[in-house]
Amino acid sequence: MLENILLNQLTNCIKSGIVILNSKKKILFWNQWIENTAGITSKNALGKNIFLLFPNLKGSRLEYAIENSLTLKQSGFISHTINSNMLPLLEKNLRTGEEKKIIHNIRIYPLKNEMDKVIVFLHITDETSYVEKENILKQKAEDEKRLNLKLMQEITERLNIEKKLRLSASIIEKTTEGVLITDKNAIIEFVNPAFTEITGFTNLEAIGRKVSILKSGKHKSEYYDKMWQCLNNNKSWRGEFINKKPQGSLYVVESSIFTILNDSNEITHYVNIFHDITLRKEHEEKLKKLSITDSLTGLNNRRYFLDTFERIYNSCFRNKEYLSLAFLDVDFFKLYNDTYGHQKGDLCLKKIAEVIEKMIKRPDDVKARYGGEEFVVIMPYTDSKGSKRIMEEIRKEILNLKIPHEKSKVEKYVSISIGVVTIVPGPETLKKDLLNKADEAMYKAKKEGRNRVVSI
Amino acid sequence: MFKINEIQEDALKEAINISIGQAAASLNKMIKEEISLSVPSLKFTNEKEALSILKLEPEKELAYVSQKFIGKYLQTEAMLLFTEKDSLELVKLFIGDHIKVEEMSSLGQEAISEIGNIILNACIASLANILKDEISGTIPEFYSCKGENLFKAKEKEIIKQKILIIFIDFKIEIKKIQGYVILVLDLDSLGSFLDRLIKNLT
Repeated sequence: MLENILLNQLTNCIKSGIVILNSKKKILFWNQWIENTAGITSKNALGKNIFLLFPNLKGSRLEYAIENSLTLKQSGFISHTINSNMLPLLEKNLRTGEEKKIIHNIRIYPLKNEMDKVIVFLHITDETSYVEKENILKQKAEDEKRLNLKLMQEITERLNIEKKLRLSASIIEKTTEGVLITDKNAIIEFVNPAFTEITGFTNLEAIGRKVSILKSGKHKSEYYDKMWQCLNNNKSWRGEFINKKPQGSLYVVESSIFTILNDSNEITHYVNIFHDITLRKEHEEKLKKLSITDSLTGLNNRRYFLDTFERIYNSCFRNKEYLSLAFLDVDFFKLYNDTYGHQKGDLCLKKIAEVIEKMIKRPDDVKARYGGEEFVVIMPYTDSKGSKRIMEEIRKEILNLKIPHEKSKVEKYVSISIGVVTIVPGPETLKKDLLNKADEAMYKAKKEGRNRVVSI
Repeated sequence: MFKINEIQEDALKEAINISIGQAAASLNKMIKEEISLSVPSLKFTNEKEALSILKLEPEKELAYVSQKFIGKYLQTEAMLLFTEKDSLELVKLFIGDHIKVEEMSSLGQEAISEIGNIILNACIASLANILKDEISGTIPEFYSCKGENLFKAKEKEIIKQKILIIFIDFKIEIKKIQGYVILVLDLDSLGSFLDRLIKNLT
């Protein structure tokens, strides 16, 4: 009896469950801890079949192990880790009143009672705090792993970016396109070797200075204003610049400028990628010039004359200005060619052209070889008096060249007949008429004895 | 080495197979996936040759569950042995694949212990049945060590020459987990065990 009291006291001190079953699985002992956690007093538990108290455990691993213990005297170990069906034990938090499931293991030992009958001793241990600790550790490890993974990803990403950057950098270094990067205030921050090649500014000379050091002064300020406006609105601009090298020579570049924006969509940088098109421009100019120039005399050709005549006529028509038109024809030129040969003839025409070129200096005037030995001069804003005077000067100057022309029937030297007509273009006048009239005047000059100017 | 004849060996294997089948059934209850256990061969050997029979490197990390059983005819330490890698796979199988188990935690040890408990109890139960013996066992204990140290501690404990009965190719089919059931007996105990075994099997 004393032993029983001691056993009771002892088992009630233990913070784990102690249950003893008889061979019929009826509860013989039920300690304090299991009373509290199962919510069943020992008075209610004692003498009852454990699977009547916990019908859910029928067919569970616990039943199987208890069976084995009773019949085969085997010890069993049942762990919460692999068994979901365990005893419904709860722990009440005395402060908050919350109930928490008790995670537990059960050890099963076969014992023999005083009558040599097998009884089963269940030892139920609370593993809750243990599992919680382990879970925290596991969580920590998981977190750490996740962090490492994230770090790895970031590093890989950065390496990829660096790879790309290195690639871009080497492309920028090697390309023949000039690359110029400025900050938002157009202060140069970066230039590549091709920049130096094209502009003549080394990176030391360029970086830190305003991009306007490249300006040639060939563009009006509106040109740049428009560009900046376009850049700020459209974030990009394409066009040409005539720039100046530090040594003073001009060059033309074709530029693509785009902006770099920050996260708030504000411009932080301008990137200008450009190439030198000076040579191309020169070629274009040459070609253009060739197409409108008479190859022998260097004056404009008939086509150019016809194109510009229309333009000038219209301009004078609009402005109600005088327009003079002169036809100049070398006297007895066929005879000259027959006498001195075509080479001399060409030389003669060249010399005459030089005179016309020299005498007609105003930029708006047009002087052209109309065909054969015939030249034409357009003089806008010039009245009859003025045009006649200048034509007279040309006639004299040509005679003064003293180019011998022994077969000429008017002079010893090469002379010229000029017909000039002056009108103010109006609704009643016609372009064609003007040309015809000038031609008419020239024939009149021929008729009247050549080496003269006839003005209508 | 001690030998039992072919018929006896077959009978013993068959008996073990039946109880292993029962153990598998109770393991199946705990996990969703179907597992099957097989015991295709049986070897008698000593500790020195055990590793080579098991084809285990001395450096290999091992994990095992041990239980001691005492009956009238059989006194043995029964072991369920895995490589550490396979033991982790086994834990995963029970605890859940979503949890990454990379080293054996205490919880993992508990899981392995119970699995060992089920399998070893089943093996011993079938032997007890053949021997018509009452064999009581202790609670399972988990151990881990290198292959070369597997039997060292035991040698110091008992100087008596030991004999091992090894059930090779004990397989948990799913996941290709391979385990070994080893019964460690001392020489004295072996005689009475085999006598009784052979007598009851024939």
